[in-house]
Amino acid sequence: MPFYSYGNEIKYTITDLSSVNRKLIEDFSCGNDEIDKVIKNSNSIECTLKLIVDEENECLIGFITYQASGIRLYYSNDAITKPALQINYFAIDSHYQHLPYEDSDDSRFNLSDDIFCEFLKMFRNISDKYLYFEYIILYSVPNAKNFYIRNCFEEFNTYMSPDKYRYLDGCVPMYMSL
Amino acid sequence: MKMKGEVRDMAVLSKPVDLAFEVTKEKTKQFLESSKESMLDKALARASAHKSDKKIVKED
Repeated sequence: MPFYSYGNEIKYTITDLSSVNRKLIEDFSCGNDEIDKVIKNSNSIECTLKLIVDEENECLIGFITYQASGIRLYYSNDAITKPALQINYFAIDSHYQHLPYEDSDDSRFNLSDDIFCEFLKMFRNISDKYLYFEYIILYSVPNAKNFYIRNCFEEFNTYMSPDKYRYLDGCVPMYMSL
Repeated sequence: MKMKGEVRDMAVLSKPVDLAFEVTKEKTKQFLESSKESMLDKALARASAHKSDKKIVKED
């Protein structure tokens, strides 16, 4: 496995799963067996899958899955759905976690932030050119909430009906406006 | 691998939950107000501020 000091040493590519890079999945481990199974059973994923590949070392850094979704807004006598993109899974291989992006006194920007922002740019492009949506939504695992907050997401809980909370399984619904 | 800083990114950052995003009628106006400005633009501005290099990421 490669050894890096900083994220900006890594040349990565965002790409689709293919017969060429499929073999990279075998070595992927984010430290969570359940999530590792998702990518290893990628044929059954019912949403868009993108891989993040370390070009020089031919390693899978991580993956993201997303799909079309919406936010339902209720009014007094009506309801509308605002189009949204929902991120289902976003996971990083354990060898690439906790890696600061560059040598800086400010440690709040890691490789994972850089990768995530590349996806935000990609989503903006999709919305501008191909399929319009107004929001990005996701369910953050409890420990990752601060990752999304520092990337300018906001918690959605305050807008939800309180009786929904018990279904959240510890996850935090979050949203971002485009 | 060098460990630095207090912020730790998680192995898994998001996962699906079988629950729709719904805004109650009492909160709809507040929600729309909160999302008038682009949060995505803020995130990209933050990223740009944290990066001294301007690495180009290849996308297939």
